[in-house]
Amino acid sequence: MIQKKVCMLGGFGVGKTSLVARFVHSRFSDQYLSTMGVKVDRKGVDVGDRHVNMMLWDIYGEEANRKVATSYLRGTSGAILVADGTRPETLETTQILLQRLQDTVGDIPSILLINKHDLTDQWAVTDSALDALQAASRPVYLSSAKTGEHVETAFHTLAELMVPS
Amino acid sequence: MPTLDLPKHLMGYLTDMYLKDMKPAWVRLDASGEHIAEMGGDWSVYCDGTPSIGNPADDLNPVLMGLFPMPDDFRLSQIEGDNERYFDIDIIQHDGCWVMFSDVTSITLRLQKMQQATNSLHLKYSRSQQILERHVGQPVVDKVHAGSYTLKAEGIRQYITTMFIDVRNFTVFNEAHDAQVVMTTINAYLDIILDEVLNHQGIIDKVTGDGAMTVFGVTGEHKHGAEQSAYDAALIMMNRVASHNQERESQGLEAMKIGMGIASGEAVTGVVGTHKRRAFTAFGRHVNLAARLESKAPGGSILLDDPTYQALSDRKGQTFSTVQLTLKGIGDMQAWRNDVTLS
Ligand SMILES: Nc1nc2c(ncn2[C@@H]2O[C@H](COP(=O)(O)OP(=O)(O)OP(=O)(O)O)[C@@H](O)[C@H]2O)c(=O)[nH]1
Ligand SMILES: [Mg+2]
Repeated sequence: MIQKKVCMLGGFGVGKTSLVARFVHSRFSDQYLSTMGVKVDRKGVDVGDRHVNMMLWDIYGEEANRKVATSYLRGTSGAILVADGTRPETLETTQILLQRLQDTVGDIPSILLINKHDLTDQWAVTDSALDALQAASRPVYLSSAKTGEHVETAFHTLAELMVPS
Repeated sequence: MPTLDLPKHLMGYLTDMYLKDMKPAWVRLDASGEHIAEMGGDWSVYCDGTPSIGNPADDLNPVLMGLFPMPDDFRLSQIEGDNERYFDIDIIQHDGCWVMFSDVTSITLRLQKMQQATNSLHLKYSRSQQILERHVGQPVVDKVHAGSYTLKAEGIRQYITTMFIDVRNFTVFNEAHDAQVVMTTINAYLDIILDEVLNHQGIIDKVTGDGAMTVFGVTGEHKHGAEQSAYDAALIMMNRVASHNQERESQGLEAMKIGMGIASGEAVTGVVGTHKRRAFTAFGRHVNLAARLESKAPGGSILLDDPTYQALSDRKGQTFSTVQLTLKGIGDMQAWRNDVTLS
């Protein structure tokens, strides 16, 4: 069995914990309980005929007064960068975190989720901004931990990138 | 304790106060830096049973997977365990590699409350900022935050331009369709209208079922005058609504035109309402006039009062004709009518 460490990275309140809860336990809560350090959850996925055990590191959200420490990133094989589509400034945070990740562990597979896509009324990422993000080499998904949109797809895509056939 | 100059009983006191609750547990690794050579402390909090000598160190906890041998000092803090407890792991190099676990549940829960409060506040703040922005536009939001614009309860007297916009024939449409369809349809029109008001630094005073009252000049961000901003916004709206209508017609849907009335003059702007529910609004003779003009404007046309017309520095190649109107409560007056030529 292949074990892979995956870090959930993004600003605070973007939905990292909710995405893991949706993916691992198929549940969602409207309540916000901010993550302090890290909580590790696991889920196995099949990639072709191989079984990958994903160790999901749900890390606290980056914030001006509290940066994500690089020790959490050590040994990670992949990353899920998460932004909140109702707060475009959280996209910049994912760029900063991606840079820190690359400086720490090099160029590893990563994907970008722009989350809370169910909140159409508050959505604030313009189509042109999205086009620019999609032009970069990493996969981008508009996701929702609430409805489950693109959650399963996103984790699977990352698993495939981590264990290329 | 080599460095602290403390009598034993004080040291013991501090240890009781700070360290006992942390229930430290430790292992020393063997020369390979991967296996347990020696151990101590209270492991019951961190593992089922005690770790065994000779076992791989990364068996201690999944977060250690793949980390050994570790060449330098290293720290993972506030790892959340299954039992709602938090622990730190420190890896210390000192004649070999040592791994120490400590329980930090109580301090973490305290910090959590603070972090939670800060983060929630941030989220609420950005949400209210977003709502404010949608109602009054970015320039006003910036001014409010900079403290240079406050909505005084007693009101501010100023010269402004008021524009009423209305989607024509909407009542007919409303009666002929399902409520959900009506809602989606009107929102598509209002999107265009409100978007251009904000693009031209106008303020949305109120949105009625099928139109809006908007004001320009309250914040003084108008390079060519509030009248020009309102007029420019009106022309762009007309064009955007026309292309929206074309699209609708190509899908076999009804098209609806918009009509507008624009008037300028002194008004008192400010906040009305009780302290639970307040709204920004403008009062003044010209405000009523703008509403009346709008009610007389056919779909596709703009009616302007004379002060607004005279203040335009750029008519954008549109032609105007004068019209005599008799308006209830206002009397006979001359206004300017522009049947907008689309660009
Ligand atoms: N509508 C909606 N709300 C979401 C979604 N994802 C998360 N939320 C809400 O957003 C808030 C924050 O979600 P979390 O998952 O705790 O965010 P986080 O990124 O883990 O936050 P930190 O741990 O503080 O960094 C919660 O109130 C969630 O219910 C989503 O897709 N749609
Ligand atoms: Mg979280």
